Amino acid sequence: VSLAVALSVALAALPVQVSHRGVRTADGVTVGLVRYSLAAPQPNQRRVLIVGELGHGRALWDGFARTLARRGFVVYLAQLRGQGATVVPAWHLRDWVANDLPAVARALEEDGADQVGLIAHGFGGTLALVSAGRELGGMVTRVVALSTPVEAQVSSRLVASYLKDGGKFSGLGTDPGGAALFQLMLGGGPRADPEALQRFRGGGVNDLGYVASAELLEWMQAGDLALADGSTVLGRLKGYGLPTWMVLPLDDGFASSEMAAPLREVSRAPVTMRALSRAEFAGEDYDHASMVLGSRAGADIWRGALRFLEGR
Amino acid sequence: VRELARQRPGTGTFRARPLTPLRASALVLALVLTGCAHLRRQPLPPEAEPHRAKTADGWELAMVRYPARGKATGRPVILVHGIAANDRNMDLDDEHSMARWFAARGREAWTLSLRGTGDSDAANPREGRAADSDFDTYWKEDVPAALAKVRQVSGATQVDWVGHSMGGMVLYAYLAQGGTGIGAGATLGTPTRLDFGTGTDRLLGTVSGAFPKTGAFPSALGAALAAPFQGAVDDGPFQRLFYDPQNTKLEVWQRLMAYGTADVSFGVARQLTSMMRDGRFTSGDGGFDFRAAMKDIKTPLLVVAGRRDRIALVPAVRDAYRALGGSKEWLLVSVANGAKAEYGHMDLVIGEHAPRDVWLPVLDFLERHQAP
Repeated sequence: VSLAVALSVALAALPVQVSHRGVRTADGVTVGLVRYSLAAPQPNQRRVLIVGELGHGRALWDGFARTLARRGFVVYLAQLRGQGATVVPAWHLRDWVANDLPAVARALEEDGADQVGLIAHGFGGTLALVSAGRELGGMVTRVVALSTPVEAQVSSRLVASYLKDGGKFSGLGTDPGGAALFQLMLGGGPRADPEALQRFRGGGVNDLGYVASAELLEWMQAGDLALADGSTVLGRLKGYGLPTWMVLPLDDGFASSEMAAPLREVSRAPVTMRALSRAEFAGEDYDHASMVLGSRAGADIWRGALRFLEGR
Repeated sequence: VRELARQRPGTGTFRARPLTPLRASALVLALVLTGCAHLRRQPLPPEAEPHRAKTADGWELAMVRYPARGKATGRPVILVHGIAANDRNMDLDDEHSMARWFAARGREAWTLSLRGTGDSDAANPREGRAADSDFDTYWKEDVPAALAKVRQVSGATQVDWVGHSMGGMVLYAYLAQGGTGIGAGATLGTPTRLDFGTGTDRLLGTVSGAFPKTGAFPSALGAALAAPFQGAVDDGPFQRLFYDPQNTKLEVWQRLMAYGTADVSFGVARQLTSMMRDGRFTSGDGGFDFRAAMKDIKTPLLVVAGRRDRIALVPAVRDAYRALGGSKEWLLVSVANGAKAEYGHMDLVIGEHAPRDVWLPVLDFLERHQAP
């Protein structure tokens, strides 16, 4: 036990180097790419790209990305249009696939990353999944999918009402009247580090804007989303073939587990499911954000998921 | 007690007495009896009529008829319990009774105890009732017998069906095999896949082949014995698995455990746990794929899931909705969808808010699918 504690303390003390760069897309937007790595480069470092939920910024991922970096990963956190500081008026969901992710792929190549694991989260993560074989240039080798919808549905009447109104999520989490609604939709869970949770709820989620939120709602209602090249999300998923570790957070009120589970039916590669709840003695009933922020997520989710990404 | 006495010698507050087996037993008995008053089996209402339905293979099934109050507004409806349960799930007491609720709204309601549960015949090889019933026996033998009894008594040609958990799986299997006589139905927390990578899936899926050919788990006795102690641990495993305390009161849950449970035939357990291993919803011999055949079902069905259901996970229930052909509707009961509370597996049938959040939409669906 002492050795484990000493190792944990030593690991936590390792300095992580964080750099941010802007990446220009083909349509002239500058999207963000945050790179986390140990200050002292390690041999054979594994690389992982995180593509988070629409509108979700760095606040959700920062602590997690640092933890991954201390474990020896080089972590790239994409901040695509609508996420974090990448604020673009009237953006379209299809732009992620057509413009943002190709730009990210180029930036990764420039950084020497020819192979990456992908951590994909929610609807935004689904757009990364459908890009993995094309716009991401085939560099993705394995995927950890955090409830990435395949058969999209309207998550709830509550979510639909917010999307009809422009997806105004920013500030909701700190509004006394809105905190409970924020929890129902985007979560955070009861066991997150309070400071990280405060950062996430306080400014970690942008308003989606009327165009993107209307498109997301249409995606949920129709079950599919048209992409710029004439293909659709569902059509592309039928050709999906990456080994995937899929986390099904049973309390996710935004990208619910029932939307994500059908991936194994369309995938040509193995999809390993992990449904998590307190009934199974997991630390909590995981939701949209607590998969990342939850204090027990490391043991419940990430221990296995990272082994999977490492190919073990 | 002994430990407390040892800690306070000579204070006069506690006096150490040897805790003999007799005293220990008396203490436990007193605790159990004082905490058990509310677990007494509640009588059925005066209007409830007991019936017996005879299956083609010679078993008698207990059914209870609740006549429609006032003018009948639609077809009779059969309410069917899930695994390890009996008909009292559908009429637990005066305030938690789907059967009386439907009857009060003009629907002749029937509860059914599947074979080996409730007051239905138990296995008895000497009387020709082998102890090797499996899930297939339910849809092959029990469903037709129950439908025939309701038709005979009510005069109706078609009957509606509301099945909780396995009570819905029985409906899916019956209809997938081309079963007739059901006008419309609703399933509550009914899965058609059970392999979602939970610890339970992996454990039970692994041992599913090891169950004996005959016999049953004594789950009714276990539940009855555990019932008085349910309040001892807050947020305990039963609560986490089966119900949300914001919706179902502790004493109601305890009552359900005391007399709403039943033993589970090893044959049924083997067939259903095999779904955890291979993810397939098939006949016991694997020769008929119910899930694949569900696309041919034309009977209108409402599929209801509870967001907090940890037995029939929402993706497991949704799987059935995806598999169904014909007229179908999906209802996910959750606060975010306007429900008064969240729903675990048993809240769908005994939750305080179930009449508003679950049963009313079910009745509405059945009303909208009354054939002329």
